[in-house]
This record gives sequence, structure tokens and C-alpha cells, in this order.
Amino acid sequence: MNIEHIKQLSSRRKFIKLTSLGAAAIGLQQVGCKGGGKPAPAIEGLENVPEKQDAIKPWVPVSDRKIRVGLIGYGVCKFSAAFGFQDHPNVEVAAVSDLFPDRCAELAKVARCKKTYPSLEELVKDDSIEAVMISTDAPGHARHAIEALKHGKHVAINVPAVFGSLEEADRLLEAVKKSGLKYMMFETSCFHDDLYAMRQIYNAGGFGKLVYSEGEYWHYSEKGIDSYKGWRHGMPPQWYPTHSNAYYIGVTDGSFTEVSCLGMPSQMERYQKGQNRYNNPFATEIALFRTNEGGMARMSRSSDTPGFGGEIGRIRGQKGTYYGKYEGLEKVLPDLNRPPLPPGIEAGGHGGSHGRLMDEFVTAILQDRKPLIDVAVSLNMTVSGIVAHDSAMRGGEWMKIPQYKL
Amino acid sequence: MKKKALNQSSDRRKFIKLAGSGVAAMAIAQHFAIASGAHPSMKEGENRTGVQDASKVWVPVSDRKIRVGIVGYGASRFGAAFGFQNHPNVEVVAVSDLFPDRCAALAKACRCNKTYPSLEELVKDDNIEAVFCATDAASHAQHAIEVLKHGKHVAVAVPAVFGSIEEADRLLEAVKTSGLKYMMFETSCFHEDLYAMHQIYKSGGFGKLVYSEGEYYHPPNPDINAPKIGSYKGWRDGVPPQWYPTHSNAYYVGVTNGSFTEVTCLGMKSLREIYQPGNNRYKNPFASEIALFRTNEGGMARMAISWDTPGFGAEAGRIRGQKGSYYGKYEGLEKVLPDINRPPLPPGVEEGGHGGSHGRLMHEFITSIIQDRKPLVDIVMALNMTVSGIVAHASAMKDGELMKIPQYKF
Repeated sequence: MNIEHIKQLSSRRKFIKLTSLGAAAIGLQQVGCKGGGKPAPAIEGLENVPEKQDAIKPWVPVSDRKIRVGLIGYGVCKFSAAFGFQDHPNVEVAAVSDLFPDRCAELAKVARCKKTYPSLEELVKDDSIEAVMISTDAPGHARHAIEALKHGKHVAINVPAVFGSLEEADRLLEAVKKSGLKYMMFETSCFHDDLYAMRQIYNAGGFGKLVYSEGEYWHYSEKGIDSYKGWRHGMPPQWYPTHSNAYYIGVTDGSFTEVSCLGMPSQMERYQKGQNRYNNPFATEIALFRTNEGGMARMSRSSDTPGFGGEIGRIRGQKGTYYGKYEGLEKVLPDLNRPPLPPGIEAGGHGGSHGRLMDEFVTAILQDRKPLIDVAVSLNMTVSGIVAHDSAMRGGEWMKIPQYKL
Repeated sequence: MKKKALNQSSDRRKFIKLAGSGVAAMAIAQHFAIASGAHPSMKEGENRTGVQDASKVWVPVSDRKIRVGIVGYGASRFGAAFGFQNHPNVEVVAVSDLFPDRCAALAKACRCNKTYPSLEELVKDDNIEAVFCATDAASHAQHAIEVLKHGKHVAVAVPAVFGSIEEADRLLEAVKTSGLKYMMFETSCFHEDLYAMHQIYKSGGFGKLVYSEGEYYHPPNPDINAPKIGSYKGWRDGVPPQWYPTHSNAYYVGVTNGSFTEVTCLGMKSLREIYQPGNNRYKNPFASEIALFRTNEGGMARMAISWDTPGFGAEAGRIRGQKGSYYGKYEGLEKVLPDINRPPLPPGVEEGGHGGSHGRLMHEFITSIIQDRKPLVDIVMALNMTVSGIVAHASAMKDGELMKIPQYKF
């Protein structure tokens, strides 16, 4: 590392300090679950942290090819348009779809695309489409991804990868392997400023093994959030585990091997006996995981505790810790800046992750390489939560977690 | 209460009401963090530098002077660190340390002429009413029992017992039999935030606690050649982390006066020399242990101790209840909060270390004797805080086996 770079790093560190203060202050405001632009009111508490472009590195195009993308799903979060595919210089949005005609029309307008299909099943038959962004209901994710892969299309998809089913996970893994196509789950925490930095430092050896990690998704929701056919109503907290689990798995690309998880029966109506389809009494679940490095992780979800909310995490390694910043034995850190974005692409919501997730997916296709959050990482993040909920239903019994490899 | 004091207290109530509505406004706007790293309550040192909570004035409850003996002036020089020697209701009549030089230094620090060569000698002094034991952790229970047997109130540094559930039973019995005051000086209990949590909890502002977390992160000195923390006969060398659990466990037990009923705890084998096989008397391979507890309210708690992860250090915690959370401040459904200021201190008594807790712990102990009431951290709370950690370590040694925790009641 040359002196110039160290200087940059040091001014970068100052900059980070400033933005993280800014983020904390902005945390007091409340915008929708979407990135920039009009706030979508439905998911309260998920603010858009207006991220500055991490400006040191200029974006360099890797190709002038335009990938033909289909966008599917414009529901509560209006998510398929929230990642900026329609603005990427290497993307042409070729078609869009939503089951509801009004939403479908709005999505077409927002994505500046004329072609619409009444369903994902119809859209994937379009041979001119190379890749799809799937922002459908969580219970549909695995099936929809498999359907798109079967039709020869790369798949980007919102979290979680599968919904409460280990069989789905096996089928999805098999479908990705067989297809030879790109699969990427858009876990937003992976492009948080801090998690991205943790990952770079981890890869450079600045932590050694992680001894203890913790991640949390605190989101108080008094009445619940609307959802297609009500899938969110009374959902087991750890079936939506990727925002928190990313604070280990997204840092190391590792996995959880065992879990003991506890829940506390919620007082909220939708968690009472007979009030939800999942027979789930818990709105808060706290999981203690054993990691594949032999370390520990505590991953938490809570929807019934008012007050402080967050999608955040921290790590402690054998050689250093990361609590908003690195402190440890390593004196020289690698470049912690997140990748630059093409002109016109906003960093977007969830801590400036939206635009970067999309750009990573598009770039993985252009460069024919593994995307950051491939199917193995996605399943290790998602399935560990499903097993955690099982454990909570059995009073914290230790349970083994299936391991996924590509 | 004099009229002036009443006026003050009414002003104070207005202030709290205002502050409370501010909190409520923020709760509606939902304080929500994404990728902003450590939250307010995690800033290193944030909970450590206590500020004199200025709105309340100390009022003496008696002009009596309790005759106190102080034992122990070791690595932490704790015998003199709590300010007994400066309290208007205390006369330090004798001090002791096994090492003559330390004993002399302690006598000087406490402005006391009388010394004894050991605790066992000091407690025979009929002139002494109460003893503060700042001795080695391994002896805390035995020393407290010895003091109680000789008819003296006892305050003791943490932990209450050291790795032994039998000791806990003996200690509880000794306190019961004696009818005397026992208080463990767990410093977290007088952290500004924990004290506030305790007040708000009692007034119902949290409902039941759904999830609590506390941590004692004491990073190793990055300088590998730095001297280790000394301890009497080396009791600190390789000690199981969860045998020193009270700083973290206080963030549930000290808030609710409840207990943990079950635990599963994991450790990770440390790379450090002292934790290698055969290198410590405890056969302990762990310098980091993470415990997941079930609470007596049916909630959850994560209590963490780590001594081998360099970097961020803290004795801190946070709570989430059915009606609100406390992360550096209260946010929740309750609009009017109780008085959350810590008790005032007599003139000349410094609030001291560990987040302004030292002076307040000492003052609470003295006041409980004068008023003949239960001290804040009584034997039950002390054992519920300490023994749960001992069981946690046992669980970690069995790779996280779910274990029941004995419950202590008076």
C-alpha cells in the first residue's frame, strides 16, 4: 500500500465518521421501504439512509453490452423498481409483470418499459429476456426462482431465498446447479457501509477467526404490514433472518452449523392461538448459533418491542473488533470503500445497498463470475433461520443446520 | 420534606414530563438504525463517566457513624476506591491486607491508624459494625461468611461466590442466620442507564422484558509483553469468563430483581497461552463465553463476556420490553417517566469509577444499615447474578447443553 493510499484511507476514515453520525440522526426520520424517490408508506421504520457515493473510485464500465432484464413484482414495497435496473447503462428493462393490472401498469411506467405480462409464468417464456428481478411474495420466492432458471434466465431475488422449507432449499440449489446461471439474493445488509468494510478486513486477515458476531433486525410493527395473501401475518421471526444473519455469513461467506433459539409468546393479537397460519406464537426470537469457524453468533428478530429499531450488527475477532469502526491489532487496512456506481444509479435504500446489489448482479453476468451473494450464501443465511424457529418451538433444543455448497 | 425541597421535586416532575413527551415524539418517528454501527449505548466509556445527577440534594438520615473495617488493597486497590473514608456516616476504624506494605498504604489512604494482619483478625474486633471485603474473588464467600459469623454487616466486591454452588448455599444460609446486611458491590447497578431502566421497569414502562443484553468486553492489552492483571495467588489466570458474570448479568437481574432460570452457553477455544490445556487451574479453554438465558418472566437474555478479542471494550447493556426499549435512552409507549436520577451523594463523596457507581454503592450500603432496610443488591440478587454465570460456564464446557439454574429467595 503506498503512501497516497494510506492518506486516502485516513481521510476516508474521517468521512466515515461523519456519515455514520449523519445516519444516526437520519434514523430518527421515517421513510418507506423503498430507496430514493417517493416513500412507500407501508413499511414503517425502514428509513432510506441517503448514502453518499463512496467517491474515491470512479466507475469503469466492463462492457457495453445491455442485458435484457424482466422485473416482476410491485407490491407493498414496490421493490422490483427500487434497485435501479431501469437506470443502469448495461441494462435494458425488456418487460415487467405484476399479478395486479394496476400495479403492473405503474411498474411499467416507473421502469420506462412498454411490455407487460400478467404473471411471472408468462414473462419467463419471453426468449428475449436474459435475467429477471423477482420481487414477489416471500412464499413464492423459491418456486419463482426455479421457474425463471428453468427458462434459462439469470435470477436476482429479494429475501428470503426460501420460505420456511428445507425441501425448497434443496430444490433451489439443484435448479441453480443444473442451470449454470447466476442466482443472487438481494440481502441489503451485505452492502451496508459497515458490513462491506468488515468483509474486506476479514478477507485481509484483520480479524483472524470471528469469535462472536451479532446481528439484529428490530422492527416494531403494531398492526403488521400488508402482504400478498397475508404471508406476513404472524410470520415466524426467524423465517426472515437474512438482515441479521448477514452480519456473520455476509462477512465470512461461512455458515452456522448448530442453533439454540428462544422465543417469548407475544401479547399481540396476530400471534395468539389460531390467529396465524403458521401456528407461531413468537414475535421475538433470539438465536445462538455455532459458526463453522467454531465461534458464536447471536442473531435477533423482534416485531413486538417498541422503541429502538435497526438492521445492524457488530463483530469480534481474534485480532480485532468492528463496532462502527475497526479497532484491533492490524495497522494497515485494505480499501474499505464500496464499489462505485455507474452515473445515474442511486445508492438507494437500506443503507445505500439497493443500487450496489443491482450493479453487482449485472456485473456478475457481464463478467461471468459468481455474484457476491450466490445461492450457497443465500441458503446458509436463510435456512439457519428456519432451523432456529424450529428450535424456538422446542424450547431452545439444539439443532443441526444443513450446510450448502455450490 | 421541606417546602423548598417539595418545590424542587415538583419542578423536577415537570421536567420529566417534558422530557417524556420528547421521548414519545421520537418513538413515533421510530429511532431506526441501518449500518450506523454501534448504537448510542455502545459508545466506549459512555456509561463509565457518570455525571453527578444534580437535581436532588443529599439529606442525612442520621448522625450516626457506622464503624467500618476495610479489607483488601490488591491489584485494583478496591478497599479505598468506594469512599467509605469520606462518608459523613462512617468511621473507618481498622483496615487489613495480608501484605504489610499494602496494609500500610490502605491505612494511609483511609486515614486510619489501626491495622490487622488478616481479615480473620480484623473481624474479631468488637468495635467494628460493618466490613467491606475487597479481597480475592476466590475467597469472597468464605470471607463474607466469616464476617457475618462475627456479627458484622458485610459489603463485598464481585462476584458473590467463585465457581461454587455449594458456597452460594452456605452464604445464603449465613446471611439468613445472621439477620445482618449483605450487599454485593456490582457496579453496573449504579450505571446511569441501568439505574434509569430499573426505575422505569418498576413503574411499568417496559411491561415484561422480552430481551435483555449485557456484556463485559475487556480486550487484552495489544502489547503482548504488557504485564497481565495481577491477582492474589493468580486467581485471575485463566478464570472462566462466566465466573465473573455480574457486570453483564446486571442488565437483566439488576433491572428487574428477577432471575435466570435456564441457560445454554457457548465458548470458543482461545488462542492465548493461559487457556491452553494444562496452563490454568480451572481446566478452562475459553476466554469468550456467550450465554443465552431464559428469564423468570419468560423472556430471553444474551449475556456476553470476552477477554481475548482486541478492540472495543465495554461494560454495557440494553433492554427491550413489551412497552418500550432502552438503548442509551427510553423509547416506547409510556409518556410519563418516573424520576430516573440516581440518588444524591453526601458532600465529599465522589461518585467514582465504573460509571459513577463506586460512591453510590458504598452510600447505599451505609444507608441500608442506618435505615435497617434491604440493600439494593442484596444476597438474593447477588446470587441470582453470580450463580447463573457459574452454570453458564458449566453449559459451555458441555458444548451448550441446556441447564437449569438454582433460584435464590430470601
